[in-house]
Amino acid sequence: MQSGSSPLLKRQMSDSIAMISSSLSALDGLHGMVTVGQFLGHVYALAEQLPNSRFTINLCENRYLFMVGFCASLIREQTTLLPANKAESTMVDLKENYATSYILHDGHIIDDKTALNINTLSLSCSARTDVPLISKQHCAAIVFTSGSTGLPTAIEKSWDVFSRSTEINIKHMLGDLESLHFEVATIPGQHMWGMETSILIPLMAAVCVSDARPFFMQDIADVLAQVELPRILVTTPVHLRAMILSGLQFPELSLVLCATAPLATEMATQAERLFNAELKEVYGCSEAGSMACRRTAVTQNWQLFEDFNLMHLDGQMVAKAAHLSVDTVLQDNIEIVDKRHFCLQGRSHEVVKIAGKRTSIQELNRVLLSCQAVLDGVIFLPKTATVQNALGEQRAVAIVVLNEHQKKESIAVHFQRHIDPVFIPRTIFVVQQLPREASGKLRKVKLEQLYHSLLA
Amino acid sequence: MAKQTALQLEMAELLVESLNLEDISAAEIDPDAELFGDGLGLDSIDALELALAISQKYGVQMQAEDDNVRSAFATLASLTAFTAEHST
Repeated sequence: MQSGSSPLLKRQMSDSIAMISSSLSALDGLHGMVTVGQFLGHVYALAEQLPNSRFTINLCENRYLFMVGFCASLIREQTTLLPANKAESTMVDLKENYATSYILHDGHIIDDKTALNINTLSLSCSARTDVPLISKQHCAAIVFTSGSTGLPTAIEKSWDVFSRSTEINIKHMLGDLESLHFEVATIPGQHMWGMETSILIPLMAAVCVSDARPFFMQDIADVLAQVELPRILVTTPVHLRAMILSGLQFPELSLVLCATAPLATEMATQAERLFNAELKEVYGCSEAGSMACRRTAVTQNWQLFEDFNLMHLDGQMVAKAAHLSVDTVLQDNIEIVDKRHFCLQGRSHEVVKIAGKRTSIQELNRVLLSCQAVLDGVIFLPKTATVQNALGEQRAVAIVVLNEHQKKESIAVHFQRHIDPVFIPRTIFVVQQLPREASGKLRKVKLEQLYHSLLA
Repeated sequence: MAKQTALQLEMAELLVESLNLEDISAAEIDPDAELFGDGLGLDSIDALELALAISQKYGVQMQAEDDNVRSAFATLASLTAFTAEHST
């Protein structure tokens, strides 16, 4: 662990760091470009108004307010908690495990009296030029993700890890930026991919990020058109695919960064044509952050960032880097090509990854079997392509035996309380019994057969 | 459940097909039941998927800033009405 401190940001004070496109009462209607100095003013102003607490659950949907909230928490030596979802039970668990936490939001949450709505405060003030120093050891954020065992894991990110990995990311994702670049991201700042690219990068590189989080294809086209050139788009395969299939015209970009799930070569080629820009696909995980990239349109091989090394350890593939205090066991099947390159051979089959979020089949089954309406049941990912929709995301299927007088609707309600909506099995079949063997084991082949008979 | 109109049935078929809803048929979708949340339990990827299917079939683009879209996605009835109103 490093001692000492490092600056919150490394930017020219007069440079733009963000572009505000919405009307935010916290900023008194401030619109357009925000300079680094103005941003610092907002951060200091919020820091003074935050409650005394150790942990901040930052749920701000506006990217700029999220960023101001994250940085203000840092100044106050608070740790930002980044839950994988906003499910009711997630919030209850967080508040139980982190008793001294509070929710910071920008108006989208109403039923929590202890939550602080940033838009009820005033952050307008004059610009500041004094860059705060943050202790390197300070735990800047805790990222929650489902480990291979299915139980949620809390991953602590010190300020030193964040700032050093951001330097690495800038070097490998952006290279030397000769002029100010304008970034639009379709993922929230709360997600690790969004945190790395749309919050941390603008603190350390000549990037001005849009506060918007465009969702539909037309929204993305509109927000891109609002920002100046040269433009960078940070997105996911799901959004890329939707943009390609939409038939819409998009403004010219200088770079597209894509991560969270594997991208097909053909999609990468089409995206490069659509945006007339290079597309870099990035590989990483919540534990270690981004660690490799490739130009998917021209190569299948991933190039490891210089600062990382991969090695086999006890039958597992492990990523090591000088700035990470612990080694990371990777959840994917990796084939090493040479010292700096590797190929991905698919994900370990017990891991489910949808919309950039990860959980495990065990975890989903644990949630299913904790439902009182369920006597027996199983969740699995069928091999068939039928459950893959146009956007290419595979959905889980549940086959259940209900307890007497129970309805399958109560399973859906149970799921909504306990897991992220993207993991809720799209289809729930009700059967009289599961084809278990005498030992109680449920074979995948039998399950696939049953699934096909139910589809017929 | 209210009776579906012909347009609502057509939209329901698009829903079932584009979202691979395997355990419900188009005719079974209640025009006034919530599509997201408690009703059919659809999520954000479904919204994107549905937006894509609607743009391809009806040439109507969904936009999230537009408050109408949030209400448009509420039920089968509202989605059908929104699309009919915006299609050329």
